[in-house]
Amino acid sequence: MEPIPTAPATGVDDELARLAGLAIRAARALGNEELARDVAIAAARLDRPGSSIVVVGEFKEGKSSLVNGLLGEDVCPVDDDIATAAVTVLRHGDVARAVAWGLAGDGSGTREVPLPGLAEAVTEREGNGSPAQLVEAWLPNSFLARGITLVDTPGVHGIRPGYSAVTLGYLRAAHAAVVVSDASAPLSHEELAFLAMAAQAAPATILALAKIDLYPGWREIQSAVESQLREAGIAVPLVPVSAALRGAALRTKDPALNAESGFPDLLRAIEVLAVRQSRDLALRSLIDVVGRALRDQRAASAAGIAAREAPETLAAQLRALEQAQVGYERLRQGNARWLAVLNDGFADLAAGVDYRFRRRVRDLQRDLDEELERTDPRQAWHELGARARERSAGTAEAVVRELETGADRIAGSIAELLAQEDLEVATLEGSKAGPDLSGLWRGRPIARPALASGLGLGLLGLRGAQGGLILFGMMAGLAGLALPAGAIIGVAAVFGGKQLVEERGRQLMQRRQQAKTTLRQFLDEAEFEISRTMRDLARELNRQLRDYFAARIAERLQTCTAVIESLQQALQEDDRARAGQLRGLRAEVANTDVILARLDEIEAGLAPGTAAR
Amino acid sequence: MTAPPLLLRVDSVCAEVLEGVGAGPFAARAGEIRAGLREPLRVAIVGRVKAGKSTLLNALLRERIAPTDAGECTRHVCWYRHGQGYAVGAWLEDGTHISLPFRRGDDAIEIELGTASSELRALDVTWPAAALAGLTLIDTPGVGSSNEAIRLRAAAFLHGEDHIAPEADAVVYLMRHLHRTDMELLESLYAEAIASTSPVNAVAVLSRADEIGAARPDAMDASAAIAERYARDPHLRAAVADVLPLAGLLAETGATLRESEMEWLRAFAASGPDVVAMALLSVDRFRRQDFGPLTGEVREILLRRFGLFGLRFAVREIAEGRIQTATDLSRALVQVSGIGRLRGLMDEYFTSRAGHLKARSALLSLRAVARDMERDGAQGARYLLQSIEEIEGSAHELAELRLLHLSLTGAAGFTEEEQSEVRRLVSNAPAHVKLGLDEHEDGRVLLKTALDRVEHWRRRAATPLAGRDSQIACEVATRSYEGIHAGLAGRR
Repeated sequence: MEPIPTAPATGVDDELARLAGLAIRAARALGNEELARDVAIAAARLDRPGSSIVVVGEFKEGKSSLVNGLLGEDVCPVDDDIATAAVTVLRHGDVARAVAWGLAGDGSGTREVPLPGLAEAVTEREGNGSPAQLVEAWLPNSFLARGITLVDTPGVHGIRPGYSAVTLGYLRAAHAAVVVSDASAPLSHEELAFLAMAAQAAPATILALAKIDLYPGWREIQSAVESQLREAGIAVPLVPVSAALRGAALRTKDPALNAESGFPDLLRAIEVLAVRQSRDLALRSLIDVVGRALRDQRAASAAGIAAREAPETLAAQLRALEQAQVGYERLRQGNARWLAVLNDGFADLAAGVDYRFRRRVRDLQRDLDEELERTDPRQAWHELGARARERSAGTAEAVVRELETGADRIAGSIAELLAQEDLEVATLEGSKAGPDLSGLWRGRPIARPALASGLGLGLLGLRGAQGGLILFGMMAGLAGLALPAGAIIGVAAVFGGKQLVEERGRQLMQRRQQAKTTLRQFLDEAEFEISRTMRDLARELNRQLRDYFAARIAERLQTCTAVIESLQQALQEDDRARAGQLRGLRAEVANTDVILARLDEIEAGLAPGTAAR
Repeated sequence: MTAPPLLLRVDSVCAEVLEGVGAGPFAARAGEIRAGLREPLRVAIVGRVKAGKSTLLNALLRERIAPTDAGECTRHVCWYRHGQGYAVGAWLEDGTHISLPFRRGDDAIEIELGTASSELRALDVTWPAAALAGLTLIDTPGVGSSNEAIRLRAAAFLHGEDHIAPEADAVVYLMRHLHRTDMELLESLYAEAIASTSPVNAVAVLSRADEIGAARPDAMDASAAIAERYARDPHLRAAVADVLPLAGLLAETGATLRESEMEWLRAFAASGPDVVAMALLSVDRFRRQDFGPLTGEVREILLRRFGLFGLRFAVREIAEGRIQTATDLSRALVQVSGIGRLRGLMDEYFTSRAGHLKARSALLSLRAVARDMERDGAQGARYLLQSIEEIEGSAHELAELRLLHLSLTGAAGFTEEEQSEVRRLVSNAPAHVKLGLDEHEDGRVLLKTALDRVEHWRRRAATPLAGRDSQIACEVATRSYEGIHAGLAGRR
């Protein structure tokens, strides 16, 4: 059995803080203010890495209670009967507030929700219309204050299907998943399959066995589940917990009860797995950006050394640099080749994705029609409906994935193109860091992730995060696939007599027709929503890439300019000054090399698997 | 001259097939169907893993026979039939039947499967329990098990070999809350799985109801509210007659309570409210808390027999003086469990309509035989089909089932009152009960009421805008009352 992990060793933080200071000075010296700011942000993030933890599982297994237990206060609504229907994103904030998204029928609309009113916004109640798709809440809560974003989700395999495909999509972007199953029974076939997929999708997964206060046989269930995991080859730590005991412990401030609740173990596991994940990501980001600043500085120093060692080449160097300057300037023009590659690339990508998407929808339509011909919708409506939703969700997920993968490819070709033009734009493959994901958990209209472009970090890390959340909101918003009740029930075949046999046939035809129409309506809506999402996402990815490369180019230009200036100064130097400069620059270069090597060392020592996905 | 009773007619059809076909597989099947007509109604208990099926079975039998461990337990379909003595056997895949050794354990019977276990199709237990006199109960492995063999076995029982021959006449469906798999399963049962269930022969149970409210004192009330909500759901209404909450464990324990258990609870309750409150915070607390002389073993037994809700309930009732003896406790547990309502529903829907439901299943099975005979080109297929259709078209009992179905599912658009009337009407009760009148009512009043109802339903059938389903239903109701009237008039 996977042991519950213990705390990791830290220690490089101070060193990196110092190096960050150096990097900031280096960037400023070259006039790269933005780069200097990026380093500062990355350094601050290391101090408080945000990590996102998503709580998933089948419905009515105890997810919301578990979330409340982690928070130490009752925020998410818990009900005997009604289950959570919206994604709830919880972050730290000094003032408690909540915003609900997607309240209107077409998925738009946001509204401030007073926290006590959260239950209504988040659950599905008769006569209340559909609940929100997404609720964001900020709380002055000490658990969240550690930089954690906690996400409560509607259950998979509940009566509203379609969520599992999408849930898995955005698990890829989370730092950790806590899968909840209660201790009343071993994992069902579906739970086991879902757990296997979640463990693959999320970088770190924990299985919480809930409600151990209630079930006398919980230890037998734990053994049974551990066997199931072993047999299935799923290596995930299992933590038995009781949210009820946790609640009692917090109310009575009883440490013994708290220990019995299992929550200290759960918190430790989360800390180690999730927080470690995000810390490592933050480390990589910082190393990346510090490295960039220092490499710029090294390049400038190297140029300075070359100019002074062989002053006769100075003029030639200056000319080369001026040419480069012109080159960079050209790149910033609207007619630059890389912009054409970018725009053409996205046009082709969008067309391809659209074509494949529409073909998939046609296929789904055809498959469902065929299925309808073979069965009586009265018997299989729920299954048909579930399949329609799941496959639509799968199609939507494929669209997002293809767009994001395509965007990566375009980014790669642009980097190659620019490299060919000998302009040393950092290739994205070389940048191994992921952006800070906690800033990505935003609402449904594609909100700009606050940090990714600002940090200028690898866009690879964006994969799944935005797309997943958008998908989720979209699926929630699609109209329920409900056949009018009259169509389901009818005279059962067994009561037939001759006329009734004919009658039965006619009624069957009617039911089929009704089912077909309902399915068609649903698919039309799904198609509309997905293509809208696709357009928005494509536009956003396009913009992000454009900003990213424009920023890189601006940096190069600035560095170039700064080097030119310093070389021009070198022209004025007398012999003694030149000698002094040379000594200084050589020392600097040597120093920087040592630092760069040290950075590599630190990075190599980080846990594998925190590379941007 | 009234038509011969339905079962007799079905019996003759079977006899004709046997005569016509002589020997061979069709004869065997017809023979089985015919023999089945004389047996009690077969009721299958179905649901997901750990829904509480075996516990319910034990509660209904008032004896702990089926094993009910913490982990996944029931691995085979198991039939429970009435008999004079005690016996355990098994049906093998090849159709043969063997005897199996068994012994009575503390909690359940222990059957030695031996080498036969891989070829087992189903187990069967013969037991002289009173509850089995009117019903044969079938315990099934859970649907959705992560163990593939078990999953296949459950599916094989539910869907039969070619999705057509029912192995049961009625279904009790257990669920802890409405999971997607439950909905899909109910749908598939509706069509052509085990009993071709319809609300006329299926009820749903919201099981382990004591756990729904996290074993709070109001857990059973909370469950009742949920069950009521489910009962109004149009999807469920199309599939089952009603949804009832049930705390099976309490029913099982109540029916099999021991004096010693009452003693232990009394001792526990006597440790004082503070200690009791601490001990009942969680199952582990109950195991470890320092109170009184109860050993670890005894505490374990109490936990398994009562569950957390059961313990909290029993202790509160004892402490407040409402329960003093083991008999008191037994009665209270059974009462709070909700099994009384379930038994009542099963009596009304299943037992009292046993003849109708058996005939229905038999006709379904005969249809399957006819279909196969036709496929094989055997003689008499066409004639068999005709006989079946003749019965289906003319048997008023079947028409009444159809009426009940249309009423329960809402297809006929009846009001609550009309639905109650239909439920009364479609039963084996004596005429005055069907008419909703007192036993001692005057004969003329009975006659007049019957005539009134005939008129009422005839008019109702002719209402403009009444849909086809409503019309059919009303016509059947009319004929039912005509039959009652004729019966009463004939008597005078």
